Amino acid sequence: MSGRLANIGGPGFTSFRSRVRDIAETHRSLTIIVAMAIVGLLLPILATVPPFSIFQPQDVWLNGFSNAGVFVLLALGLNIVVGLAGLLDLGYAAFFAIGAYAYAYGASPFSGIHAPFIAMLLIGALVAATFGVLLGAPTLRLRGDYLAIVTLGFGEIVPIVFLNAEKYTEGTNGIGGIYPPDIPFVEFGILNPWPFYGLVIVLVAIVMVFIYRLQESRIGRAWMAIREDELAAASNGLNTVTTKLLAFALGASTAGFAGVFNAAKLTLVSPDQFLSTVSFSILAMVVLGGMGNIWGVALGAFVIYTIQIVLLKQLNAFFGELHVPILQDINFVQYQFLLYGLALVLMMLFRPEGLFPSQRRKRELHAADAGEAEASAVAALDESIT
Amino acid sequence: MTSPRSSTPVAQRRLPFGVRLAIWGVVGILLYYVFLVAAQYFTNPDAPDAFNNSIKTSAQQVSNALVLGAIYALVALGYTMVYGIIELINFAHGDVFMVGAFVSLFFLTNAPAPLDFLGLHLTGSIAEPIVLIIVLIAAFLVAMAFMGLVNVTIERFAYRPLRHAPRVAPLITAIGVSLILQNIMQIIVGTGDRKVPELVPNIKIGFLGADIRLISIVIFLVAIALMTGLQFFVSRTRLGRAMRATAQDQQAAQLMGVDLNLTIAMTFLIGGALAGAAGVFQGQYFGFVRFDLGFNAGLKAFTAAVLGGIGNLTGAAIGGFAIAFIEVFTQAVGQARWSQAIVFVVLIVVLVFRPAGIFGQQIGERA
Amino acid sequence: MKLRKVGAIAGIGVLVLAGCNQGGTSGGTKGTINIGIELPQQGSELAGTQPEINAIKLAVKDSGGTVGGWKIEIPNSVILDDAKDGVHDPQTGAQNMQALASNANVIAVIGPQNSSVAKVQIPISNAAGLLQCSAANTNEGLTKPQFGALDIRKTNPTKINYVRVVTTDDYQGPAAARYILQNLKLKTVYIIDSTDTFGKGIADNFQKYFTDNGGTVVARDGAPKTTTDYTALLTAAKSKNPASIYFGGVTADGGARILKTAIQLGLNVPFVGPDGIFDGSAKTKDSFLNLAGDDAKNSYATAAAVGDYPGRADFTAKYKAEFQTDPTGYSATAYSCAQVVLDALKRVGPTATDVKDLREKVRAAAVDTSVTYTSVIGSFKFDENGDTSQKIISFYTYDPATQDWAFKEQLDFAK
Repeated sequence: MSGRLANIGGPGFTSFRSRVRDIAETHRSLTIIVAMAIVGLLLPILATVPPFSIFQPQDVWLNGFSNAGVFVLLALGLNIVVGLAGLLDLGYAAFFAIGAYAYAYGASPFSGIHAPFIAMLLIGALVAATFGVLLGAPTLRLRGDYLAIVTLGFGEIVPIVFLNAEKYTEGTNGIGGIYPPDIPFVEFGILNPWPFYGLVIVLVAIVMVFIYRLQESRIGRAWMAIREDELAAASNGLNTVTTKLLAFALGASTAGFAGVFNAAKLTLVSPDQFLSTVSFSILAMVVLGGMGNIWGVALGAFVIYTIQIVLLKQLNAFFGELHVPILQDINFVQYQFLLYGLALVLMMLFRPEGLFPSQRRKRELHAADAGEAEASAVAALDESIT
Repeated sequence: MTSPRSSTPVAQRRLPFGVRLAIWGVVGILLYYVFLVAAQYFTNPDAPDAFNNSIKTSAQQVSNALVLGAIYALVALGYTMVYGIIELINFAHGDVFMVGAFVSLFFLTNAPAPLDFLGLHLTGSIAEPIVLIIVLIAAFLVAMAFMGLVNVTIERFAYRPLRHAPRVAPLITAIGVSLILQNIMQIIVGTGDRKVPELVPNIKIGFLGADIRLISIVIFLVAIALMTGLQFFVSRTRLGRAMRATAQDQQAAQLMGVDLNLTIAMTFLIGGALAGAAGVFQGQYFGFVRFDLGFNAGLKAFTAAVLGGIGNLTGAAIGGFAIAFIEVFTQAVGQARWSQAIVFVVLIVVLVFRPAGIFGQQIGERA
Repeated sequence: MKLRKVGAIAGIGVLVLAGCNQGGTSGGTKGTINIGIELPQQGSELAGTQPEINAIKLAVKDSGGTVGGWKIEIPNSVILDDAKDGVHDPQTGAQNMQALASNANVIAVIGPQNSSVAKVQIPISNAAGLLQCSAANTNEGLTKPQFGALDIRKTNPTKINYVRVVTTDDYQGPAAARYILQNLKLKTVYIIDSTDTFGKGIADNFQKYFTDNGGTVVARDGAPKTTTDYTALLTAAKSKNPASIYFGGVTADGGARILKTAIQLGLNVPFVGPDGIFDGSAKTKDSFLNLAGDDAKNSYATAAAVGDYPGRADFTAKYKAEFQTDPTGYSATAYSCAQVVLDALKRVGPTATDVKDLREKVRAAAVDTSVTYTSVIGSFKFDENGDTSQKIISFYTYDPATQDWAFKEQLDFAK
């Protein structure tokens, strides 16, 4: 943000910019809300402008944005666990599933209950957090990669349970006919993408502010200390287990939150929506976006989702319309995986810190080479104590 | 990687490691057999001839589990070796196994167009023992060499540049490589099953009530041989020592003159070769190979490696057999639907009580 | 960043050529319309759906390209893939249906393949009044009110827009059960299903009929399509001495693998499966007979279609001429769906004023319960829920001489 742009507009403008920047930095929550509001207003406008309007109409774009928003929420949640606290979670979709099924139990013809949406948002988050604690309590003391396999295992177990426990979950058919959100004064029709879009913008903003607040608080600094050097953090009196458990629970609750919204929008929950490939996708979004950086992760999720769902699928249509000689005959649909895999590998080779790394992460990455790891660990420790 | 014997004072030297392992192995198998018999009997005590039936069927199930375990163990070894040396969870390893299976298929039948003149164009089993042995050995060598090289290449281009990146980065790369391998295979052979000619004739040998296929015995013996060979290599040769040293402390090993790049490359080579051998087994035993074999196999192998203590060779082998035993047990009592889930529940329970895995060592956090 | 630049250049390129491809009037027709196709097209699902896409395009070609005064096109932009990460994904399916519904030129959609995707798509297409014909969904809950179908067509419960040309599971499963009990005269069975909607659904229906009519299920297992090792399962099954095996699933779920393992273990009993294994002769790539080889000598398959009808041979020949392979999987039913759409279009096309009017007219004409359709899978009508009236189940057995399925008989389950 600084640097080259700082001098545009002359001295008067520069001082205005620096004043704005000061205000933004002191009132970060407000900045986030304002920024999300701007994004929320800009995206629909962007969807009506070529080249986006050529790909698909605005309605469809908005629907896509809402779905992308779910993954933004998921990436933000996983970021707490992986990016902020440094815990490797390979089965994050399990909590997504738990939140979604919780809403299905609370608001569908299957269960016969119709609880209000906003209450279910909190309940879903809470249920997911509970499972996060149940899983985390016995396992968070495991070494990093052992925790990874445990979370991976949990991510496998949960869909299998939902699949096989038919009497309670309708098994492979899933629970359908789930009621849409019932927020007063807003009508959530199935063909109308605007209310869902607005709702997801609000939810993302809320979660971002919440995470930002956490990050800057003592807990956030404790997470940072654990991430940098767990042994040192522990020997300074930090209760590593509780701190890690909190990260786990909060990450799980965010996934539960997203699950409730997703279930309400899709009107169906079924086990095949929550397989381990989803967990890997979200992990890729967090890493590619820039672990630790809230905006980076959100943007990474948005970009990857749009590429996976819009771009890669439309390549056939796109090259066909352009009548590009060789490319138009290739059936890109079957190469989707190959291209996605290549993209992942290339991204990691050329920019392993992600598209928008947090400044801290960048320092870590390059400090590791130069042996300054200890210096930054000590600095983190200082910050967590004060 | 192997447990050091330095803790035992010279006066109390126990039996050699291999013998101890073999004894515990036999004990384990017998216990498992008893469990199976009990479980089978008690799920259906009123059936006619229930007890005899249980005895026979359980013997069969034990042989099933041993072959499956051999395959899992070989793949798990590759996983654990790579993890031990550079702390990478190599998600692409399962797909290396899958490609190995296809390489053996291509070698035995024909390579995909336009190279389809290559390959032995076999269609069924081979009767003459000498020819059979030669072809089998050739298939193994081809698959192992090819997959070893593929693995080394992957390491060179996808993982080496990321050696100093945060731990999550090579993980993502591994996922990417896995997708690439799967998709390439899918484009070449399509999405359906491919039949593999089963070279070993369908002779069955009766043993304690079980009808054991000849190929099962071959697989089990070859796998044990490979594992023994690996153990020998790691503990006695210079390169093996270099690997162990690098696994323990990379910087110190380098200071002692170990060529890091070479050592890591050799690790990937051996891991890939083992996965390739496992791939040959897969094709020969099941008769079918498919492009999406890799993910599940990799998952189970990773679980096996962790169960046994990741970074520990013996642990990985034992873990592979353990996972197979659990799976077969669940299926034998009619709960096949839950077998995947149960494997993971067992893993979690074991890790809660032994956080470093069965044979793992609690290495202190790197300061 | 790089990708964004590509996207920008791409967008400009499309913008330039977009004008050439608008659905404008051309050469005496009232306009150009699209038939949407919504199927999973990744990984192993593509093997089943590519023949369907081919068949639909063939149907449009066979009709001459202009029906009822409207020119029909199926550009790549309306052939949508609901697979994500290699597997059909309901969320992507919903998104695709939203896209197709808001595309005014789309007057009907053929798809989806999987009942779980249909469950999220029907609310959308129902609200939009868009005709949707599935060539493969068999789950009862999509159309029959007593299985919860009213919950998914909430917006317009009586304005049916979803139809399907395949019989639901509640006929094919029991048909196989009846065959085993009455024709093969066997009393015990071992059931193994693929745990997904189709496999499990049909196995459930099979089991219910089998046990209700005096048979005994010695054991039942669920093995997902990713299973490679069936030896333990089948060893356990063999110890219970079943007289037959019923497989619920499609070939890609492992039908041939299961059969091979069973034979290897010495379980040489009749192997019965649904139309998931009725997918071509031994020469057809990836078909059940191709993979099972000689092991299939004691296999039986049911098909939810009329066994011997004139249309089938013609269709097979035409398909082969156009695409150089045998029509497999659901290609015949996809062709039928296309025939339904084209027939409706022929009837109402001339009187429709614009695409919006046409869409509603096509829907109403297609679901009209008084219309009898003559298609490559025989003739049928739709009932008041959109289900096909054709409840004929055909039985086939493996003929080693021709290395293909041989028709044995058919039963009409219409009650």
